[in-house]
Amino acid sequence: MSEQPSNFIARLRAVVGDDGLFTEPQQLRLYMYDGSIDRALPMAVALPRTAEQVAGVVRLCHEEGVFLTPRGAGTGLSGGSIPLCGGVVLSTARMKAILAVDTENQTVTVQPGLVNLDLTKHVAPLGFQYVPDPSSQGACTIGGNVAENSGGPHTLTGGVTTNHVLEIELVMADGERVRIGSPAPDPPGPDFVGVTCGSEGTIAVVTQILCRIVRKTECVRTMLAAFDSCRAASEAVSAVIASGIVPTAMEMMDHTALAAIEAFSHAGYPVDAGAVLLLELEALREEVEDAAPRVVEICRANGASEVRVAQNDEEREALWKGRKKAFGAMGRIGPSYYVQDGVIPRTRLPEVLERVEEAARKVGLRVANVFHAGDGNLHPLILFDDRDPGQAKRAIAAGEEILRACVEAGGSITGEHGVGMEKRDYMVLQFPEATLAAFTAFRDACDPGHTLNPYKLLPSGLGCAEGGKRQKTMTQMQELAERNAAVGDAY
Amino acid sequence: MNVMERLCPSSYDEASRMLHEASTGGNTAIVGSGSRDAWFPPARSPVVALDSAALSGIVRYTPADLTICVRAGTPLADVQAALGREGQRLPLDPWPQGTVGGLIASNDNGPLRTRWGGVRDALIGVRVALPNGEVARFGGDVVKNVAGYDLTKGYVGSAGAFGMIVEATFKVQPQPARGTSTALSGTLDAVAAAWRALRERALPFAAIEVVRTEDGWTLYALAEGDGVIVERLIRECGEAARNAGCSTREAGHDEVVEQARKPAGARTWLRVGVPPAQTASVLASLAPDQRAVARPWVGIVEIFGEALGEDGLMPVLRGAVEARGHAHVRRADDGLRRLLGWWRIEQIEGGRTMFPMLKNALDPARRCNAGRTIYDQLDEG
Repeated sequence: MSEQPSNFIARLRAVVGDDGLFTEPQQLRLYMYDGSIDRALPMAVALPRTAEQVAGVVRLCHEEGVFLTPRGAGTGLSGGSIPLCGGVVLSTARMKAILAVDTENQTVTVQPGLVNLDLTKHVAPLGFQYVPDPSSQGACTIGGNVAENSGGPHTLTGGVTTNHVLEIELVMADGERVRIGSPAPDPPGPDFVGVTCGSEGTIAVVTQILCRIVRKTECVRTMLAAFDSCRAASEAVSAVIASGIVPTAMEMMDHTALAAIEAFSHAGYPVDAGAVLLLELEALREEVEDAAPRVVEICRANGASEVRVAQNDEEREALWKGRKKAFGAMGRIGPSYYVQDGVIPRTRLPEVLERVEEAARKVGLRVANVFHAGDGNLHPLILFDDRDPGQAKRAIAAGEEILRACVEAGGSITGEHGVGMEKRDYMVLQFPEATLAAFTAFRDACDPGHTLNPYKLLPSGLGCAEGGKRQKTMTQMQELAERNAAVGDAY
Repeated sequence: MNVMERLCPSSYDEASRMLHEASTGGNTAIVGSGSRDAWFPPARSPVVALDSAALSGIVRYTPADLTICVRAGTPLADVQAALGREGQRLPLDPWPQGTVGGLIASNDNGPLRTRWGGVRDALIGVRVALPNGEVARFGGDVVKNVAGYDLTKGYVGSAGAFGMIVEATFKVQPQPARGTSTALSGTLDAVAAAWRALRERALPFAAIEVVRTEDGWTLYALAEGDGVIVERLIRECGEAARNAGCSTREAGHDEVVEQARKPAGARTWLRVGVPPAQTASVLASLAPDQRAVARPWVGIVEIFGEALGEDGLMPVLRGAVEARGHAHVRRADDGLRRLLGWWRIEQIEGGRTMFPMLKNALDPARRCNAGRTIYDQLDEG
């Protein structure tokens, strides 16, 4: 840093205004967290109201070599918005306007801090919906969804965030403001929007998003099928797909999860079942009426002891309420949980679920499974007591074992929660060195000083192909971290 | 393009080694079957060409997972044939010739773009030979995957700028039981009223194509699925046609596909992209000698003809840009090409910033297919 810390804060205040900056310790402590298990304290929190102010904050941090961590609602589950090395947190909480609704082109222009559910609520009276619906949709923001490329239960046919974003306005690491993508289809050249979605705030800060909305489907039918075991439920999932029917959602909850969810939300789930599947069909009335009895029949043929079809919206919402509040319900059966997010090819579900169970058993902990079975996206919740450091360690060890199993089955270490800081060292499990070197080179090209969201997404100490260069960067980062810490102390 | 040597690697490692050696010495060109070669500016010559012909065949295919992994030199038709044997398909129906790698690099599509999206929506992973001699893998075999940067998407529309795609994995889907289209004919206003009415009802047509014919306009609505769904969609077409004042007839499945492929055979061919609501005004602005096929729910208009003149085409290009869209002059005689160039785009700044970032990461010496995209022309020029 080329000047006194107090000067830096004063300049930051000049960009965002008195009411746009938090520096008091009790305020800063609120920004230490996200939905994961890591913690770190920022030296200041900037809450810009405009894209110009965002650019001002980014430029200032870039010039002074101060780390900057963008933050939406902090619901992330991989530590993506934790200010790991201190520095400034840029919160988009005050940029939550819906700027334009264009029903003819089926798009909505929003600011990044808009809450996901508020977008759908806004367009619902017009007969539209925004498809990606993460379980945290009541709190998480569209900007955060872009950073993480968030999914949700309806991705099987609907796709994830990247499939519903047409154009993005960005502030690059040096403060330059640009627009990528287009309201028109397939702009010439590479798909920059696609590359930006899921970049976890490490290459740019999003200031405006053009989202695609779709008309609500004519007919939705939700059903719940109870099975003796996860294996039987998994086989039913494969059988449904093999029949040529692709439901919009196929969610699985195991016995342990069911007990907790039912105690918490009283959704009427069968607590004595080994596993249940929540299936949803969304299509033309004729198509649903044709497919629904076939799905019921397939579930029964695969051992379902009970299949319940929601008869109205109220019953449908009750079925979903339990699933959407599932993570919160875990408090009923354990003081804390560590959730993983591995993905596997759907056909490998039965064997990998057994390995999940085995991984938890090996370290003496329980595991509950609540996940997107249709696209093979597992969410094992390893239950532990966070007051016991030994248990936390064992939970993390079991988590690693589970990710290993996912990669060995041909899958991924994360389907929708992101790498963040939590899984950066597991990247080596999934990718060859050449890939990690390319990721690092891309990061270097976008943000040479690694000022934006440092120590995220990439393996922490990996040599990669350009070992020397990387090492140098790491040393610089350590120095910067120390300087950032000094700024915080001085203030 | 002056090709000094043509190399045909038969393995991924060989491809990366050849690309490394060739790009150390000079410019390289990545070539597939060449079916879309003329749609892009030539690579900076002289080049050593790397041909994907020997990198062909299916790598992994588990029908129950609804994914397929193939080598990039595989003809798309072979992929569809293999999927068809299992009652599945890749919902991409571009110009049917050419390889999977060429399809990704050119980001081409066809009528099914309306319902199922483009290459970016179906592609879940690529393996690429890089000029640094390494083989990198981006994305993977699973349908949800947010580990690391989604550089897979960077290869869509890349025109070979970031190395040689050697393998690709796609999401696939069950083959629909039936597919047939209804043709609605009338004035442009009448068919536009029909496509708007159908869109407002959120009806899942697999394709909605508009064709300018000698005596007016025809809207093809392709219905796919089981019998009950197809019957419902045909019924809806009838109602929309009556309300809009169009005549209707059954057109089967193949006619709509044949119509969509006509532009590729013409001497002059432009592809315009606009926000979908602007499609009708683009079509209304066409000169009498300009034929057209459009995807009005998406905002794609293909304008073609035998020897179209600059006078009629310039307003189309200007209109596309004013509508916040873009245009790609895919085929033109030399004289017309000199006047029109290759692309028009509403705004270039974002790509001008991000293209060099991808290039620095993946081809820092700028030797791969140099000059073939709108951005590396700018980047190097």
